Amino acid sequence: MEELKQERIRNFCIIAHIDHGKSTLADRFLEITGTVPAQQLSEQYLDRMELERERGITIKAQAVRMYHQARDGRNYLLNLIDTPGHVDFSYEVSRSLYACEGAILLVDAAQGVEAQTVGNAYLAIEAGLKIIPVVNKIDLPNADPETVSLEIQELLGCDPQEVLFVSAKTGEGVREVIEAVVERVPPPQGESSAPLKALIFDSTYDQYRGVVVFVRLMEGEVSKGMKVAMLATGKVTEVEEVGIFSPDMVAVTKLQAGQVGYLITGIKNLSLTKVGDTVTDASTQNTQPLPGYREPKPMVFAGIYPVDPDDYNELRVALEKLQLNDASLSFEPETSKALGFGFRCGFLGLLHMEIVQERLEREYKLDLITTAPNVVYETELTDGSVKYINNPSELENMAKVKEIREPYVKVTIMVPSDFVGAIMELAQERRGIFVDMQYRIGDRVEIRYKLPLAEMVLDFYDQLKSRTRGYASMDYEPLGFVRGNLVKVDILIKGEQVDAFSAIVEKSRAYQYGKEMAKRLREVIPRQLFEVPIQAAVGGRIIARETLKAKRKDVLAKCYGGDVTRKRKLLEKQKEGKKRMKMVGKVEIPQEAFISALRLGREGKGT
Amino acid sequence: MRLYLHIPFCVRKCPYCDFHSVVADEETKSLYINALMNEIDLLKRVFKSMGEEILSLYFGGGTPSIYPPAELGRIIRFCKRELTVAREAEITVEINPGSWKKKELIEAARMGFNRLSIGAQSFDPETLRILGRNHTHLDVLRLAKSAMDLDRFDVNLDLIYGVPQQTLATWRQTLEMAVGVKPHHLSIYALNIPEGSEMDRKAEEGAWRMPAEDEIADMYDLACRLLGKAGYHHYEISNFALPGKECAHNIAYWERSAYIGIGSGSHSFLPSRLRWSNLKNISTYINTVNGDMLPVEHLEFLTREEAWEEEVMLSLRMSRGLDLCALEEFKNMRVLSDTIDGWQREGLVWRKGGRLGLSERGMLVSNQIIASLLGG
Ligand code: SF4
Repeated sequence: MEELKQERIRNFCIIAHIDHGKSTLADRFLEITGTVPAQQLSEQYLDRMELERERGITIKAQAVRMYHQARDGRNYLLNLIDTPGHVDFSYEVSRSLYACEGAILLVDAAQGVEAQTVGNAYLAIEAGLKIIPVVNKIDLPNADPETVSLEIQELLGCDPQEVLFVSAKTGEGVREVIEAVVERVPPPQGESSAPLKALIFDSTYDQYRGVVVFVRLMEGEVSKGMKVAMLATGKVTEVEEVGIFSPDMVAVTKLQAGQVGYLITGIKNLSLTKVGDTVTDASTQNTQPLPGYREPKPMVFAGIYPVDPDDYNELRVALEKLQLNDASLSFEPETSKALGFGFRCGFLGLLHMEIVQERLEREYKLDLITTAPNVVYETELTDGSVKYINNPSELENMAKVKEIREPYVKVTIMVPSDFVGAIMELAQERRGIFVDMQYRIGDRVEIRYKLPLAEMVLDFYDQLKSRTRGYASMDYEPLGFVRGNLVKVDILIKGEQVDAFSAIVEKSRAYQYGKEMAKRLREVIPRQLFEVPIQAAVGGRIIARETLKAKRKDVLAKCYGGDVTRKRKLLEKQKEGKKRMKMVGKVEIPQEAFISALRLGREGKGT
Repeated sequence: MRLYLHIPFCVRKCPYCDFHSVVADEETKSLYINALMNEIDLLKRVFKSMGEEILSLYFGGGTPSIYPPAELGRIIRFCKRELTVAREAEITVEINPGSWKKKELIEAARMGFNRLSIGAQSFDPETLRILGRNHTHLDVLRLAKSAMDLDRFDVNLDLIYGVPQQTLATWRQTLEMAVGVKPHHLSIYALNIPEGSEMDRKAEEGAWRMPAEDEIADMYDLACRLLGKAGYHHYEISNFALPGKECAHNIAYWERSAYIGIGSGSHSFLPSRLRWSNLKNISTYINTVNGDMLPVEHLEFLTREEAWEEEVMLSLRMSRGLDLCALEEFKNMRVLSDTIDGWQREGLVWRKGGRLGLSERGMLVSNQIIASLLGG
């Protein structure tokens, strides 16, 4: 493989809304540059995880190196870095962007600019990337490339002639895009002779080789045998292999400033190679880290429990395995009165949570029950200390809490103007604070709200989609913690608090939540031999009450001809059934009742 | 020693029935009567070895009254000749109001029957229709009156509550009419609709109003109240009797004393741990006994714990309750005591003179209480 000078390198990525054709375009690149022969191209080469392909989104970043002889007759090295495509992973996206000098902004000619396109375009601009706007799917019968081009010009403030038109499906115009990458994207800066500084933009775990770190070299060079250090984690290790993606991993002798590739070191633990961290030469002192590193911080939490308690260990092993490849997943053991032994898991967002849940169920064949998700709360105690609460039941003593703060996000919604009323209504219901609204080309409106993350975690996205008949698109970014008028609502069954149903909610919603939950439990808990009050309480004060009336009839029918055996067998079965009940005080509750109450709570949600 | 004789035939099957009975031809029916006598013959040695008199005979079904009284009379005569039947033995026959009339009752008395259990089920035409019974409420009334007027029998009426479309009001009428007949004994059963039965399918269609749990409980409460007021003693979960008119035969089941069942699908028990049941297939049954072999289908020797479970379960069905010493045999009373206290506070059980019993409210949830006692 010929070595190319830095000025012939182009590092770029594609940013696009889900379904706008990013993977198809990437496949065409591989084909045109001859990186992968056409017949070997399985659909969408870059999305390798089954789940990714199914959902049409990218969860892990990928990178691929291509060679291309451009119109000027010279050879260029193109590194396509594929970024995760969802808001939950916006930090990961931003790191991938920092590994590039240019970005293709890909927009569907029929759908137009979506909220996520806007969000990612701003991230790319912020990262100083050269943006190449491309309108895709011009072959579609309902394509409207002119209007979409106008939308893009407005969004980027660019000239009309900058916008390219392609059909990634048919290949029309794709070569022009590659040429534009060569012509418009600047070559990487950075001296190969300077001390090593490489940005980790992703890492994966390989069963046989340990952690594979995806890096973009900003300065210096790295080769096999070199001792390197990870600045944020302080881990020092020896490089066992350096290589490139072509698109499969191929070992090379060294990587130089401006190049993209991978490192394999002795590290076996993904949490030591954090996205955004800087890899340096272990022998040089006082290297400044690359800017923008952030500890991954889960924002959404939920309890995950095995339906069958015997699966507890299997669940733990499965979570450990997932964590090998997903450092942003956190979990710790948790015990619930209602659900037994399980784990409190932390996720970057709702989608992340669903992906983890789905992988556990699909790849590890586990039958799980997940509690309603909650966000992380920042509490300031009366002694001035600050504590983060991952689980409402941790908030024991309200008296000691001076204030509770909840995470807010800034939501950008793009929608045809007819639906503005519906959006405002929804945002109001969800405690949204209006920020601004702008009219865009083609009767579209961009509306921004500040919204508590907790409201998003419920079914905001579903509601948004259903109230706008699917027309709205949405993006969000975290805004930090804001003081809220929040209380913890507890659910008591015959005076006993049931942890899985505690929730932190806005004060004015406490009654509604409590009433709802109590009612639901009354419907699913079987009647007992005594009356069972089901109450919702805030700080010991009862705010709602439902009564489960006593069971009145459970008696065997006719004892015919002295058939005692049948009766005994029936009672024995009932006796065995009782043994499987969870006891909350004196109340016997089948696990299924809890599960169905929790399922009801999550009905109609999902992304 | 008690003797039960099972007649597994009906004129047609009721849509809710999961008892052992079939619709059969005349030939099978007459072969069956002979087979019954053959089986008694086979068991003679067992009866002899027990050395006890037979204190009661009970012809149950199915529909024993599908035969003319004289046919059943042959069996009674056979028993009296071959076994030792007590002079005062209680001899019961279950009769269907659609079969025997006054004439047959007179005949039955002559054959030695002294107790009639009438499958009345209801005095409400609508309820009878839904139950798919082959008789009207007037048949019921006439038969019950005749039985009483003859003054040769103790009379029981079976009544069913919790039937689709039935209301507290129609149930009250049935109870009042039943009490009006002044029978010696009343059995009241909650309708159990077996899964997959014809009635179950109909109920699924949703054309009927199904009484809710609370309504069924109200029906039971009402029965307890009305029958109590009319002088009936509630001596077992489903059974009420005028003083001294309890069914001795059924009490034997609950007290776990010896009984032998004759006939296809019948059940036998020899204290304190031997139970068996007979072949259910009728022609196999007939062929087996005619080949001089015992027609046993299933035989079990209870473990001590199983025997104890039966004791708890059966004693608690009776109003006199359970000897608490029996509970202590297998359970830690210190643990149970707490639970029992709770039930007592709820008015579900009573404790007196070393015995534990169910209140009328407790009887209606007896499964829960018994399952807790056995499990706790
Ligand atoms: S009469 Fe009794 S045994 Fe015969 S079918 Fe009806 S319910 Fe069943």
